[in-house]
Amino acid sequence: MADSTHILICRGTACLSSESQEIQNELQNQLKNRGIEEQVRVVHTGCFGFCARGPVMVVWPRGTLYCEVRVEDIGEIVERHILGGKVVERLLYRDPKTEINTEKIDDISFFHRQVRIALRNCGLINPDDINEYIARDGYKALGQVLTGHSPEEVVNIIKKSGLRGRGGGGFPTGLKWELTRKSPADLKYVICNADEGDPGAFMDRSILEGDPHSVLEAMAIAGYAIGAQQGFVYVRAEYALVVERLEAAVNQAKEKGFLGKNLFESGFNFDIDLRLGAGAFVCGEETALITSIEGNRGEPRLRPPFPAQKGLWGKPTLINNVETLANIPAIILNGAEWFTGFGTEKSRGTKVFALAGKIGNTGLIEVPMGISLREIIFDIGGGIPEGRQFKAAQTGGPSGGCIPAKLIDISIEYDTLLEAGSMMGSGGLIVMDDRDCMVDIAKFYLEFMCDESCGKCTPCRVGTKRLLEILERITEGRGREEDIGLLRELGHGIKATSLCGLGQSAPNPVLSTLRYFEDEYIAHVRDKVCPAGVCRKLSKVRIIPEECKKCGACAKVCPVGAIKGAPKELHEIDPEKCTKCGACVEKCPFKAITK
Amino acid sequence: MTLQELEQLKQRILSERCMAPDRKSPRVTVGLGTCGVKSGAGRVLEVLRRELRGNENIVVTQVGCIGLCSYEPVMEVAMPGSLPTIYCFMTPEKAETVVKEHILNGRPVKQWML
Repeated sequence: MADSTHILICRGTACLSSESQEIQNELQNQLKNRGIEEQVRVVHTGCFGFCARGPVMVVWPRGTLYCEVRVEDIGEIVERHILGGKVVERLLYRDPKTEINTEKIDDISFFHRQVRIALRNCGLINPDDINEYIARDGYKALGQVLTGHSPEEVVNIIKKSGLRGRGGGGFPTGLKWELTRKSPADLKYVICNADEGDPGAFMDRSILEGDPHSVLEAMAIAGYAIGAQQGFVYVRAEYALVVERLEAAVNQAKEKGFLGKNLFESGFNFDIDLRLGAGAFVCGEETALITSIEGNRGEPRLRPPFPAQKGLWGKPTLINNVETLANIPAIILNGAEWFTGFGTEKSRGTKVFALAGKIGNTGLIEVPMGISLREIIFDIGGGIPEGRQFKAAQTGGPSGGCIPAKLIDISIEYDTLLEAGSMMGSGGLIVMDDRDCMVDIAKFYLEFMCDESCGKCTPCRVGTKRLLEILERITEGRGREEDIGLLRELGHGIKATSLCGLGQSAPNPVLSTLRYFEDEYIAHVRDKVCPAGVCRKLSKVRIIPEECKKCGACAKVCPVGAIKGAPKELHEIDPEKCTKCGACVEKCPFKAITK
Repeated sequence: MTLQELEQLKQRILSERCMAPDRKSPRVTVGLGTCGVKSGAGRVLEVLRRELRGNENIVVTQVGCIGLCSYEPVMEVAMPGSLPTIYCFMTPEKAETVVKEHILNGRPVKQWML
């Protein structure tokens, strides 16, 4: 028996529901009977993210993973593995692809670094059937809170968990609950912000599509904690499937008595209604969202007063994002300490990321905070396709920024990302390779912000337009040397003077790409060259004479007849006619044309 | 409802819907998040329901997205006494084969597994 033997038993919700508590008791008994309870440490942990194969147990120092462990198996594990040092083969994870038993959880690449708390039920239960949610301990947290905790205790659990807002700002959730709770008023409201608008982010949609009840349950818990009886889910109408499933979920919860009057016979009443947004990006900003629910045009207003003091219809209002809420029932069931076991000191728990762009496994992942960008992209995401070079990752959507390849080992936390000039945002993660032009990326986000600016304040309405014009000029080869300084000055000005978060963060994509990729801007402005070959007006299509075999294939495929030269003559491209469409580059069998 | 009633309901559904690892009959799920719907998972689910009609004990149901959006349509087969198997890039035709081979005869179709 190795000296450092210790056994981790998963006591996540999922494993608890499949008797991991009994397993732990049995294990401790068996160790005691053999007189080795001093030498073997038994630790219960949070969810390994392997709930489908629970109850799960890991035996160190080898890190052997046992799945679907039963109470009857404990004797064999103690006898054979702990004392005998041999692995119990039949309890190992069996890789469905290779049908080979895998000893270590780390060997399953997509899931091995994931910890699924907010996504704990996504892909496991039927979202249209409240019973399947109940089978996964659904509404148990609400029942426990209503029958066994005071509202102050609930607020304290959330405060102790260190949970921070997952929608972008990263404000401590427990503190928000406390502030709203302490605002005196006859009426209060809970709002779930499901107005997910960042390009490339789809975690809120996926949670609401896959596990709508977790959010409804959390809203009822929040209502109890702050003293509200009415909740609203503000969801964008484009999310048709979400709306359908939410409506069904609300109705089923009402039928079963988890929403409505006298929940769990405690005298507490709580109801939830849906409000559909028309898809304006600015409505994700909390004050604009409130204005929109009130029936007005979705425009933000100055803070303070914050919604916690004066929100919907002038009443104290708690606004939380979908992913934030999805964490709440799990925290109540497992305790604040369990949650603080994941992540880092200032960023507790996990974060869901939507992987998009130039990455092998596009999709949705949930990882503990503090994981490195490298692990996300290469271990879980499967790396960059076609053997290309990783260039940068865009996080935080249009309000965020780029993290360049040289910072790939950055630890993903709220504060480290801010230091790097980006932000956590809602968790969109767009991966770019060497064929992406950073000036063009900045232009894309600026176009989006320009469209979505509500127009209420001048710095955002006019400033973003001017920024975009400068970027257009640079990508079209009309850039001037002083433009780079101008972008910086204007960007900082917009940040400092805009009314709401939209304007205050709109220049971020420009400022962060300037910070790390200024040489690319200079190449566009000074040399009139786009190093990545993306900006059409700057790219030059050229035939390399030494490589050209004079076959004539390029001339045939050119849609504008810009290539001169019959077969067996050296071909030439007429730069005046060429539209740089790239058809000839693809057609040439000898790769003799460059762009 | 009381907490005790909730717990009883939970235990009943765990067994009825074959959700616990000690399930008595198979549980077959298809991811029908937006990503799944868009890539034709609805038709896969239809075929499964049709082919398994009459096998009342087998649970066939939609679920949300497990995050493998680029492998959709994704379906999972959890047989009694063995680990769930994930199939990806499913089609109605492949689903028919999986029903015949894996679900009804216990022979996993290796080439379509994740």
